[in-house]
Amino acid sequence: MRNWNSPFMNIVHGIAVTINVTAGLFQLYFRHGHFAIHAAIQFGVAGFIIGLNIWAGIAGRKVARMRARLRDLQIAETEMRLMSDTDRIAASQKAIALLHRIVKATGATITEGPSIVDPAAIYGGLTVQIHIGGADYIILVGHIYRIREGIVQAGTCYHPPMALPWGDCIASALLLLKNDPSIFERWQRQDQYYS
Amino acid sequence: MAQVKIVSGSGDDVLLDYNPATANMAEVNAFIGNLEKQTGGKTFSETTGEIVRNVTPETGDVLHVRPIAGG
Repeated sequence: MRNWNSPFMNIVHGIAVTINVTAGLFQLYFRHGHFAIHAAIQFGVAGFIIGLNIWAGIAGRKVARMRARLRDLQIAETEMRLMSDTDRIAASQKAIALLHRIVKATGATITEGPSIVDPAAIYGGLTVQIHIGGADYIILVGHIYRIREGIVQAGTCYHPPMALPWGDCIASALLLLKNDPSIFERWQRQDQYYS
Repeated sequence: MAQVKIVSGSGDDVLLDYNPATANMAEVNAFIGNLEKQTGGKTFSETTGEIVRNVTPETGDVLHVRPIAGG
């Protein structure tokens, strides 16, 4: 995929398209034998090469975006690993303070202890819950569950683009979900980053 | 002082500090607009939790959130 869009391949494809289009036009001009079929084949080959390049360009851009995000994530994870314990604790406390502010601003609630989606309290026993449009959403680190009439109806995972303290992780998801509940279904479709 | 913050690995980082009484709000909004273009994310008010489309002197601190992947 990487080599499809190199300048050399672009020149080769350009020459191939030119040859095929020119040959097709010659077939139509001189009209020898089964000229229509030959011309159609020539134009078809040219169209195929053009289509292949368009597809490779689109796919290549998507791959480049994913690589850039993976690089950002790796850099952030390295930075977090290199942080001293004091800095890490400070970052975590800042994140928890932010989470409390965001919970208050959005009208969500924080509860401690086991919950319907975390009965053994393995996620630290801290759950953020918000009511949006007739359903309750419980937000954990990396997971969100939608609950209607006391039953867990659906769930999805989510992944911030960089390693974040858990308070920031939940605060980000809470803000996005509160302002656009349809993001829950888009996260379930898991095909790209959403905001 | 009001702040434009972004969520990051070291907690939230302050990208811009400004005095709402004296700052040029057009410049603050342009800064946030560029940030959203760069990251593809959205900016929210820390006071109301709502998306901020236009920062005014009354808006207060805002938080920029990068896009999040599903799955």
